[in-house]
Amino acid sequence: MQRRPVFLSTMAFLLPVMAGVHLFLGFSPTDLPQLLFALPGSDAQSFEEAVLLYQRVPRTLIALYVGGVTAVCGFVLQSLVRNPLASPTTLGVNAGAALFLVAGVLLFNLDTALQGAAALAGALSGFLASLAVAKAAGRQNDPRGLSLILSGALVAMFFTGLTNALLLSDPARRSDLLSWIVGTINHAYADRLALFWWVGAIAICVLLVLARPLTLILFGAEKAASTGVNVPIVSGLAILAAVLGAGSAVAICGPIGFVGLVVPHIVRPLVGNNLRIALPAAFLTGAMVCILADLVGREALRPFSLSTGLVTDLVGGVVFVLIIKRFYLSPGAQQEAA
Amino acid sequence: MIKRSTATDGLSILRFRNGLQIKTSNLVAGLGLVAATVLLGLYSLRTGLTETGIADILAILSGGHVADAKAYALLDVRLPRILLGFMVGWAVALCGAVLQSLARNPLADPGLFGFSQGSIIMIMLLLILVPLAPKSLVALAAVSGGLCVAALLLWLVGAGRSSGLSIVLMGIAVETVLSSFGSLLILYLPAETSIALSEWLAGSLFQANWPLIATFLPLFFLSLAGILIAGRALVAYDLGNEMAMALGEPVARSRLMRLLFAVVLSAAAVTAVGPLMFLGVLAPHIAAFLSPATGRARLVLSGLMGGILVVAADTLTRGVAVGLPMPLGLSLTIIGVPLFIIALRLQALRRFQSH
Amino acid sequence: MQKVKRCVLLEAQHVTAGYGKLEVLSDLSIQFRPGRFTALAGPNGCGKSSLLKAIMRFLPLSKGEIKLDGTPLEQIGRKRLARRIAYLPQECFCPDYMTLGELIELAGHSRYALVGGPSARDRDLFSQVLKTVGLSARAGFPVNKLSGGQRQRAWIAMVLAQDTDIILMDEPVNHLDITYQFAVLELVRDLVEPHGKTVISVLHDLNLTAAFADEVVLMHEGRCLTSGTGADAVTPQNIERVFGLKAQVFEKDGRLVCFPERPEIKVHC
Repeated sequence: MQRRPVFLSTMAFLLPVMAGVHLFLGFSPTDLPQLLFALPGSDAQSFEEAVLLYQRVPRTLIALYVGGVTAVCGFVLQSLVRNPLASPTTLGVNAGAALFLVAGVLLFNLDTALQGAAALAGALSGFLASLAVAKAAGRQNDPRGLSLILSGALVAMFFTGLTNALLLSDPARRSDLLSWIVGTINHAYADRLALFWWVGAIAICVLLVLARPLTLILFGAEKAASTGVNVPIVSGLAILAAVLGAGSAVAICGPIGFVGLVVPHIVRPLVGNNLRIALPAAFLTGAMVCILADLVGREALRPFSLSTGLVTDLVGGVVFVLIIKRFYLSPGAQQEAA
Repeated sequence: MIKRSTATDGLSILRFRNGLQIKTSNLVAGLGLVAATVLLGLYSLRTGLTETGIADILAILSGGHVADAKAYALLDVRLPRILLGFMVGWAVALCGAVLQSLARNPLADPGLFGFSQGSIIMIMLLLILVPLAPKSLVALAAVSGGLCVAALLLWLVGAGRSSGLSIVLMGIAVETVLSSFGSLLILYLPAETSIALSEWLAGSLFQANWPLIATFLPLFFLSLAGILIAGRALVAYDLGNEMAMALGEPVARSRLMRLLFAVVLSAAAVTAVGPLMFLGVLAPHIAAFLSPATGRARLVLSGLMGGILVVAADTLTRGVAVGLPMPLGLSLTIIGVPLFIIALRLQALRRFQSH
Repeated sequence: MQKVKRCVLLEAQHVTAGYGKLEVLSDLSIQFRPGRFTALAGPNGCGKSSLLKAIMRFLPLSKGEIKLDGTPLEQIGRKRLARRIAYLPQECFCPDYMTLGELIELAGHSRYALVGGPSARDRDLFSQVLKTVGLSARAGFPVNKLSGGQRQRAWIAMVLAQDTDIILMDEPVNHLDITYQFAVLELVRDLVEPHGKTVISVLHDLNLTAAFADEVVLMHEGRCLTSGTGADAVTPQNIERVFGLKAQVFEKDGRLVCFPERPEIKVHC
């Protein structure tokens, strides 16, 4: 597997480059050296520096965090659910987090910190609801965990409907939340990042610590149990970390879809399933994808700017179609089903 | 002409001259649901801001004279809403039941396939370009939107040989992309249009009136014919594509027909009332719990259940939650989801006991 | 069940078919004569099931054609095909709710009117079929609650209830114990002898094949290697050609017994 170190180092190299582009694109080249020096400090001496420090830097940091964390969580979910379509979007996690946060704002007037708690609770509820519906619909002959995906989609649809209904009941505050709910990376959410970044950090640390036993579980639960791994606890903890991590991302900038679905598929063929290497790779790649999406949203349709969430939804949806085609509709897969 | 008899598996049935069989248990369940619908309808007629009593209702129905305000409330507001609500609920539930047999999955729903989304986007685009479009044009837009999604799905999924599951998965993908496209439209439209569209998106019987019912009625009767003709084949499909073909079903062709049937039903409902999320899964499941039926009976019972749910939700909106802005979709959720959960749990219990 | 008087000829000519790039039938030509029990035998993956699927038009042909009574199959609609050919798949899937009676009633699907159901004649056929397989008492049971042997007989009952003159079976006795294997195959022989139906069945067990079938077709890598009566087809030379295995074939009490020698195959890991 010689691709692994190459891939990791490429990502580790590309990410700062992309981040740099994200930070500095749009400024005139003569200002660049001065801006570079302004970075470490927190005082802006000029308009350009203000833009850099108060708008660009928070955006980049948010994009890094959200992309990286969502990608890692998506990878873990896909591995544990054993389905190539699992992700925070498709398992109701994002929709649940969004619903609880919106309900918290509109019904209970929660402040930002509590909103984050609401989002985390919502993320967990969304996932549990998907599990419950899947179990209740009771498909015995369902070898690839597909009913979970279907129930996740149903639950997501349902929660989104509720969220929209809630938004309608308060037209005044609706417009504020409307841009958040499609998934917007906005410098105004820097305070949210400051409040919730530790959730994702803890989640990733937990997952890295659990990486080895998790990898063993991936290769077979019975085999893992025979080597002393406590399968239910490790799986449960990992899912909890993944769901809460994804929830924290939603708390910051709204549900950004498909990063958690698509990035694992990019990373897995190049890096394999060993989580100790795959998770950092997923983080780096996810961060890059998110920064790229934000860049595209910001620059592609000047002077209009498109929300990052919309970009990831549109592009991600197309990739979703391709994934389905490859995994479920290729002649090999069809013959399995036939 | 009609005889009471037993089917091959020993259950009692009614048999017609040409061989048509109806299970007695299904017939009883169906009549029960019809009775429930009528009772609910009468109760719904009574609820609302204007005070009306049974006497007024009887007077209206028998052509007697009633005070203007009451007559308006009954004839122009409530009765249309109840009738339209029932037909829309019937249509969506029917659509869901057909899609579930098509996908061979109990969780299939017109929203999940992306049909609702396709209709919605087309309607939104139409209303943006032609704000005062007549209802017939809106309906046309809805149907064309649904058909586009159906065509896209069929193209993506390929020839008629793939499993029903792949259609659902593709549907989810298409639905998500369309939904984000819809969010885009809502986000970047001016506030009033955006709010109006969102309100309609949450489901509303507000525009129920007699002309609309008149437009919907033919579709209702068409759906009855559809059930009669195509209903029995659904049982063959439950055995899988290959066995259905072995039993004589032209799967590729009739799959297309059923998809079209479902699209038209869904599009019509979306035009009249907006998208009713989840109803396509809710109603057939609750109906199946009341009386596990197959084929035509399943379709009829699901449709009745769907109608009942919508009328009940409308009653909730108008009567109990006066003053609260509760869109139809929300009250449907409030009524439907607990019923769904109860039905699923009791069904699981039943399954567990019978082992 | 009435005696079949038609002259049936099912014929495949230079048929090539496959799944994507994988070719499972290569230039296969074969004729099936009416009123006989033909067994298809051969190693795994040689195309036996695929041939049945091609006849049922589940597998599209890339080359060649299959004719029924001289008419190419594509020109025969699904309904008419269902009235001539019945199919028993290898893996039968049945939803949980379906009772045995419902399954049997489904068999007449191609015969029912648009808004109709089973006629009196159909109902007589159904009760007779249930009696033949010995499951009359179980008619109200959900199919998935029957035991393995009963379930297989249930599916055979459904195939019989379809009342066709040709029956295709894909490994009908695979999951059954030895008594049921014999019982089912005796049943099938009864269909052929007094009732004159044509049965084409994929069978794995060479001994059963030789004992019950009128004609044995040995297939290898997508084509028919040889065909003939049991004694003619199941010979040591043919077995070696098709399976790559040395075997002795001898007669005992008038029945053919195929006795493979212990293989010297080294399993490559």
